[in-house]
Amino acid sequence: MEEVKLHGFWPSPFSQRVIWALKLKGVEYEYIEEDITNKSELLLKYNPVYKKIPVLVHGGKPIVESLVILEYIEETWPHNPLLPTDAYQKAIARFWIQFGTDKPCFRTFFQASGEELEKAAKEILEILKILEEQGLGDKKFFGGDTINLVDIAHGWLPLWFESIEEAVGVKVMESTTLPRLHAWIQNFMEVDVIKENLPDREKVLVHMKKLREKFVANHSN
Amino acid sequence: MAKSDVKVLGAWPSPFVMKPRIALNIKSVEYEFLQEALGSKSELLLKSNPVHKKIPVLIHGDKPVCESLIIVEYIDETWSSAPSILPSDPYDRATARFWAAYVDDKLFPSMKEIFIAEGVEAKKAAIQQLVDGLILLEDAYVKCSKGKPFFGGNEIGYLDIAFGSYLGWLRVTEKFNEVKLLDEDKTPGLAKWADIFCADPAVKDVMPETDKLAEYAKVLAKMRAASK
Repeated sequence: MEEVKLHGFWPSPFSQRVIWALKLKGVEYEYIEEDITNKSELLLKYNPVYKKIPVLVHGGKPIVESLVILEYIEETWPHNPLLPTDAYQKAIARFWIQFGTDKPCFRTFFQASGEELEKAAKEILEILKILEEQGLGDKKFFGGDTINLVDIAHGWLPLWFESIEEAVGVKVMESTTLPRLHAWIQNFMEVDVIKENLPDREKVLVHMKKLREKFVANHSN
Repeated sequence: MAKSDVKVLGAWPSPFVMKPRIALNIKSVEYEFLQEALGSKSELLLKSNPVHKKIPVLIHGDKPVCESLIIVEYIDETWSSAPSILPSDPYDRATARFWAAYVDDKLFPSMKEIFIAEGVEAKKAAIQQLVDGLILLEDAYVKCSKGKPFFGGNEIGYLDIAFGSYLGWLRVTEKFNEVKLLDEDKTPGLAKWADIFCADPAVKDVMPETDKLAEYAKVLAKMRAASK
């Protein structure tokens, strides 16, 4: 079998998604920690367009963009499927994987203050309401009884988004306003592969707080 | 398959709507094209895409599929006899998906920037940004096509559709700004590819004429100005 390497950054939810998928597929890989403040030559060579992690390197060939990597993993190692096989169900899964990814309100929430922050928080709440009501519905996981790529794609909401909420000082995900999502988070974090592959929560919080300080300082300039 | 079994909700000027139409043409699948009127959304659209309320929507039987590139993948998987739209090799598929996302996330927004930019300097900067992106795509074209006419090889593929669907608006941008964006110097491969793509039988009836699209753009601009 050809070598698999993953270039990642420990607090990044995007590289974590790839770790979860590789673990669920039982794929052996070498993890290379990148310092994104001092990007390696190799990273710049593998991802000249965006210069970002994660980068999956399989047999020397790089794949970039976490959602593209997830589909690549699914197609290259098709056992233990993480997407429905039915074309229509797959289209629905892909819809929910992408849902929310292009919304600027998440970034604004992390960076802004005052009215701008309030507005972003409201938008995020609306988005998450749709996600839980129409994406998740009554299911335990987006994937049904077990997690799939949709769960993995939204797996940044616990721990990472929670840390951002704490750093910003505004809570959007309450069990009262988003009960299904709250339940999903509890269930998701109990899944073995997820539970065993999480960065240190305290360290992530410190990281997010540092970023928040920087954003607020720049935003007001 | 009866024509009424497959419907596309859309509008003729939309590059997003063009994508599933080209895909269905490639598969020789007959479909009913239901056009949304400018400025209003039909009951059927609101029912079929309650989350985003946007076109295109493919309705197959009674099942709605939303998001243009997701629809293209659905079409490829559902009518799986040749010709294939996505490449068969997972690495090539990843490459095609990467560039398709790049076109949607970076290239199309920089095209819109040119329309919005006010003043000569801002317009020049926006144009340069788009050209820089097109040069990246030229390189991708050379690598993906490997000497054949399309990104997908001998036939139109996923990335041809993802990028080619914007050619109408690209030409309108060229016309309004009196600039050549795809030219024989900077992007020779793409300049040739654009003509071949637009002339392809799967594309030519759904790609709007540049002049018609330019008129439509003027109507849109007036509407935008009126609502300010």
